[in-house]
Amino acid sequence: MLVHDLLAGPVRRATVVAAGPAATYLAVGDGLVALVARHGVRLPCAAVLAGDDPPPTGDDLALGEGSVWDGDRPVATVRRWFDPRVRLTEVDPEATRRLAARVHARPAPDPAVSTDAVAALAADPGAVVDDLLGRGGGLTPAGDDLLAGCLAALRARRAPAAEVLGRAVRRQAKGRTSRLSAALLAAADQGAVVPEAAAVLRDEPGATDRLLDLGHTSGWYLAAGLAVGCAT
Amino acid sequence: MSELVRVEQGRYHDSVTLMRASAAASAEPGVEAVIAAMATPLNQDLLREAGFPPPAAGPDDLVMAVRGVDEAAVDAALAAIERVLAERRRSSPAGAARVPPHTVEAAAAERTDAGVVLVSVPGPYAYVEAAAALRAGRHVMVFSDGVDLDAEVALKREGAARGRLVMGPDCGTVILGGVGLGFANVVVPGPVGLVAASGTGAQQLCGLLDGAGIGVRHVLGVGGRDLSAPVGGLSALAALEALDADPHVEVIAVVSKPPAPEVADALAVAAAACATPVVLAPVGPGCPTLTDAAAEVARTLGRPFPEPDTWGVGPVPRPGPLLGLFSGGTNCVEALALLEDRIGPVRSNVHPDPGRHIGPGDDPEGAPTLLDLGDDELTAGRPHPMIDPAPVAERLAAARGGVVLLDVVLGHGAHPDPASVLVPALAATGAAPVVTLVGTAGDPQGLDRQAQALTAAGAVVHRSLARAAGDAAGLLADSYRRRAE
Amino acid sequence: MTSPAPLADLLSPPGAVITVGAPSFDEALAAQGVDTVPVDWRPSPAGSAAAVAAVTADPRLVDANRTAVERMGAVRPQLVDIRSAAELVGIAGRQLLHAGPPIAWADASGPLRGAIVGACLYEGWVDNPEAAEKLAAAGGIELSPCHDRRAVGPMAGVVSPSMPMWVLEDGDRRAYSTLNEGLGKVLRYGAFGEDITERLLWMELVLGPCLAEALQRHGPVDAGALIASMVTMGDEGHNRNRAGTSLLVRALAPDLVRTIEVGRRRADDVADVLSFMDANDHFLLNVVMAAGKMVGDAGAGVPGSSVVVAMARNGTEFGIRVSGTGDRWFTGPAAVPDGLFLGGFGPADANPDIGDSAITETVGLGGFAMAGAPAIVGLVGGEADDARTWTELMYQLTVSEHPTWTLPVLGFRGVPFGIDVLAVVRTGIAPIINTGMAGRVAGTGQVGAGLVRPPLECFTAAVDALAAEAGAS
Repeated sequence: MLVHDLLAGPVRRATVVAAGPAATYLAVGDGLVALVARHGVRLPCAAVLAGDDPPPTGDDLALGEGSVWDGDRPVATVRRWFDPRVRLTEVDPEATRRLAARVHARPAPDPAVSTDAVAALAADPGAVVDDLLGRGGGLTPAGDDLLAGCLAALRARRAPAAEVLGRAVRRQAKGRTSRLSAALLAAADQGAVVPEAAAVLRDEPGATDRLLDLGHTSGWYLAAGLAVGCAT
Repeated sequence: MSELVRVEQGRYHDSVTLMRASAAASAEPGVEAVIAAMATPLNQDLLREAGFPPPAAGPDDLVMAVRGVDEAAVDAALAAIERVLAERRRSSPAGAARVPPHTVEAAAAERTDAGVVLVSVPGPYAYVEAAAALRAGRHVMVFSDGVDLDAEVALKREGAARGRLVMGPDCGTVILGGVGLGFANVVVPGPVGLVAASGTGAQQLCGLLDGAGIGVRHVLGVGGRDLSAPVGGLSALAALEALDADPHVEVIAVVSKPPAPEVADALAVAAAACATPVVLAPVGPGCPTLTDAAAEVARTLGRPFPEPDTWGVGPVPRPGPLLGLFSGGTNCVEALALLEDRIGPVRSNVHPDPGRHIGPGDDPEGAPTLLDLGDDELTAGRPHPMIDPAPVAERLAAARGGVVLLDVVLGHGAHPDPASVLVPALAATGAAPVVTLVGTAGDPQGLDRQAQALTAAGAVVHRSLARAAGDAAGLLADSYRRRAE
Repeated sequence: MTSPAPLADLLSPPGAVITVGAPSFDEALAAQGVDTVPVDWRPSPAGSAAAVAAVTADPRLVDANRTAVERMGAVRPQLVDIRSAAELVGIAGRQLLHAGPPIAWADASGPLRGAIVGACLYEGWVDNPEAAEKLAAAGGIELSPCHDRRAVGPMAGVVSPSMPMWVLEDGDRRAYSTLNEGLGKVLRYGAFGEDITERLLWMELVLGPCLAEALQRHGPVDAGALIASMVTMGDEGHNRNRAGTSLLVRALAPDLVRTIEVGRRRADDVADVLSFMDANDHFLLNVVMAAGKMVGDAGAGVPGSSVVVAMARNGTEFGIRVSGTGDRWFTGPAAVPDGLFLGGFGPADANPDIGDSAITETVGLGGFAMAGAPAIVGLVGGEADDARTWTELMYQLTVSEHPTWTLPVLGFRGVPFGIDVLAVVRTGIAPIINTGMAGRVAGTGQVGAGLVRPPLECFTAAVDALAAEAGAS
């Protein structure tokens, strides 16, 4: 739904900035839309495809008027919108403690971003943005995931610290990291995260382990960030 | 010694695939060093440490760096990398043939993440399936009608005891977080939650709000009989509480035919106790219209409510009676209330006053008549007119004069192109057609396309049934005036 | 993190929806990227809908069924002794027990009549078969079901006063069954005559006492644990008992041998006993059946419960008993099993379904445990995969799973346990029974093996009775 205007508005050319087996990442104007296969990870900036085919890719893609176009042929049409934003009325400190304990029962998977970095984030979120942005391996580096988790949790709680961190991220993210990761940070700035992280924020049973198992390192860092954002 | 560093901008692969590709390349004879990776700062460091010149690349770019004893070795390494990257895994096919679930319990055991069961078996069987759903710990939507009152009460009491919601019986529309079950329009999840004892009433409201750019997040159908005295609003009250607790819902609207007095009281009390503002929108004689309700929802949100969309110009008034052809029961009820207010007694096959009742096969004899073609009597053994508008088209084509007021309902479950069925009838009809088009911009039928097709065939089209009914009354008055002149 | 709000789990987009009824909704949901799990629903048999609804609405139902299966699952049958039928089931004079629901001589099929004749000859009540027939036809033999005396018998299941019977105990619970004679021309298939009588006498005078003494020396054999082992070894306890039989022989052999040492038994007799058991792959069947009988009885008599506690056939009718309806039998015509035939036999040679051995399916064994005994398809027909499919289907008819009888091939899932008559009627799917086939003509012996289903009318009648009882309560 963050991508509502990009998909529902006028038809515009889309450029493939990255492609994987379960997702095609399209840049449209300043925005980014991930075309995700049905059982792929539902990123907050994703358009999830209902069928079983892999997401389309190519040079002639466009988005608009409710559809994804290949040339002048609609290859997928929006049949339903979802809102990835999370809003919490309150945070249970006990649940936050449990989350942090579960996260730190496992070691930090990316050596570039250690538990020291998590501690530094907890101490002063705004101050470590520069250090964390773009830090680590993968299309969504560990440092970005950590920031995104923290920011999303702060936004979901409508905590005052959300604006401080949000402003710092907005100012510094562009060019410092991949376009996808920047889009995910922007989503986190609206309290929007993948469903696995939303489930953790809503304290659903089993959610923490499912998030920790997500991706190669993303899950752990998102979860660590959520824990910091809930405790701040 | 031969070396190559290739950069492919915007080409992405995940790190595991890239590691496999690197490993495959390293296995080629004569290969000394190979790194296939996205050019993140970390990987840039690795490339430098491996003695490769720094590539002009960013985190979104793929770098393949190879060093080998000669060019052939390097080529072989690159080819190996490409082979691995070319494997593109499709989603795995469905598992080997397994035993299909023959009961709700078996299905529930198979999918513990299926929180909702949709029951649409014939009425006499619905209670058992719905009870099974509740006992399996799931919420249940009962599309089926013809369920005994006792069964409905038993179901809702058991649901309440188990903390599960019973949506129905006779519930055709449910929307949960933007997902539509049954007949539902494509909505943008927004700040509105609906409690609906009327499916098409909820659909009209969704359409009106969509037209104003206001999204609806949930529609909790509670079944047409929920607000009667014996059922006491059990599901409506639970639904109200649930929506109130959802932090995303900023205003709740309750759509129904007028509830039994004691239930109306309970509803009012419950609404007052909600932290979220509640707009009560009963539909019937003396009640505000759904258009009014939509406006009030907008006002509660502090959002503007522009005049609802209309398409086309008014058709030429023709002398003759008023005929209403409705697929949505609440649309018929709302129109009935509005028109009786404007033009006096109107007959209907769903009129609460037995003196004004008319059967759908009876000859109206020139009196104003509104027919609910979706009524149970008419749909036994036939598809509902929302699915197949042919019965509407037949009667429309046969009208010799006057005004025909009809509704066209879009969305999931409805006919894929109702206009195509109605256009020939619009061409043939002797009456002035006024259409209420219930739908949203995202509906699969294409709201604008349907409106254009209908207006091209001579109808005037409104999102608002209140406006449409007003038009119809106006056309009648004009035709009387003309006749008098 | 929030504490769960009322119905909070409802208010988010569902990942999957179970649909039962019109398939058109599945398409719309799939288009929205929501998985659907369609239920393969069909209307229950004509006239049953109201009764099914009434029983479903009975507030006692859920707890009653849970109670019934808990009691059943808690049974730990122990094999403790062998004693005479006269002592155990209280028959004397001209009294015989038989398999299945009550039946009179006039309605009995060939194998049952033959077994009655054979029992009369063995007991010495008559000198020749014709006299036995006349006696029985004239009502001179009192017939009653094994089930009414805490007993079960395979095939004709005839029990006469002198026959030795296994004794199973668990606290105050008891269950009994005759010893298995072996294959071929045996009493339970309706054979009679000198050979049969001689064998029965040997069983009474040698087999029974030897095993009784060995059992007493050994101490109780945990039959429940034995069953748990055998279902992991390719047995299902009805039509395949090879591993279980071997386990019993292994358990009792040393104590059998010791009876020789202390001069209580002759070496030849002990050797004959061991050979006898070795020659009969089905020797344990009767023990498994008695264990099943004890389990079924434990679940009986829970008001409002729709769990089946007995399934049995007398060669003419199939009968079931249900926990919430006491001693009532609900019967219908017994069908001829469908399967593979031995030698030159064909379908015309087969008798309708007969025996109390369906007590095994009643407690999750036999056809219900087929997934663990795929070799059975060599006997009853079909592919090895079918064996698993049957078990998986049976889970949909049962309330629970057995706590200790588990199938490794299904990830150590307990066998389907606690047949619910409501599930049978709702789905129109009857329990699957894996059985031997008796020859229609008395004394023919086994003609084949196959799969058979009880008639649905047993279950619809049971539901009607439960509905009436629920209405009256």
